[in-house]
Amino acid sequence: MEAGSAKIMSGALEKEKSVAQKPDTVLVKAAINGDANSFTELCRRHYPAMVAIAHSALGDRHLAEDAAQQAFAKAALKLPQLKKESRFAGWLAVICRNVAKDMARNVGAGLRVCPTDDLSMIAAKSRDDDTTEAVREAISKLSASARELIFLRYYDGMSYEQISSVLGISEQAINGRLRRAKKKMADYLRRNGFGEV
Amino acid sequence: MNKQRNEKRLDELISRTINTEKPKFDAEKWKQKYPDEFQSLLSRAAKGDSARQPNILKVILKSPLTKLAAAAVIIVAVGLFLGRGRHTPSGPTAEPRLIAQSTVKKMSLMSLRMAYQREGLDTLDRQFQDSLDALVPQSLSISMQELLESANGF
Repeated sequence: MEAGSAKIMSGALEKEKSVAQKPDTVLVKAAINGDANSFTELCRRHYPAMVAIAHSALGDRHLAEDAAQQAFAKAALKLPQLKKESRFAGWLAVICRNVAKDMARNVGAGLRVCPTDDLSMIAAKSRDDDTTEAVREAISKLSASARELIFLRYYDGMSYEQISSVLGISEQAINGRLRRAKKKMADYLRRNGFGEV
Repeated sequence: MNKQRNEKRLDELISRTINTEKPKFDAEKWKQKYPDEFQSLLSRAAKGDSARQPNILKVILKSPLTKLAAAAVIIVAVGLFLGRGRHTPSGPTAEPRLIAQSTVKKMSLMSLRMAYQREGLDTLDRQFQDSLDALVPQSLSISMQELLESANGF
């Protein structure tokens, strides 16, 4: 009896392992045909990126996780409408972005922006926690797309290649946009008394 | 050097501000939270292979080669349908069919020509032979009535 259950368990583990090794396109095809394991593996793979996207819009980790899960629910319903399996990540990102925007509208969430005077006062104190707060403010001053890029890059340490598949832009473009975003942040911090950063 | 150091410092600051614990997807919780969506996903598998069978028309229209093949099949089918009832004079016939019944008509130029055009050389030959047979000398005992019937075909 025990041997039988152990065999079933090992079989399930093997199946899970084989699903984890498959590329996105294969999993998407299987998920379109109703394979739940393939769909949950896709969710597992893209969850950090979707949470990062939602977090960049909502400014709250828990709300961002809710938004990412809601995006997966919508994707489960709309999956047969996906035309190209290779564009799954980008398609999912669009759904997640829209869900996060709706959520931000309903909850009144969004990255908090404090007045510049407050930030100058924080700079005067110059403690580590305060610096973190100042960087958060600098991020909130960025455009939505630049903020999303910063979150994707630093949230989960995603590679340029992974970001490229999610945003649907080239790695060179990602590099350029990241540089510009960081320069804007550095300028903002410098203007507000944080010296050379 | 200073610029590089600044960039590194900014990277550290951003990482410290943003980078939190890596989010992990809990599939079981998600299934419980969105049961309808999960069921809709499973229902696609339950629909079976019939729902996933490729549409033959789509397959034909996708490839230019299959398009050409389908067009060729249609042209051949139409050609066979239209040419079904036609016979050429040289074509084989089971039994030569006579065009005329009476000897006089059988021997007329028009009748012989029609026999050749419609049924071919065999029919022409048979009609000609029948006419000649009818013209052989008759016995004296034959009545006028019989002679006329033989010549007129009724």
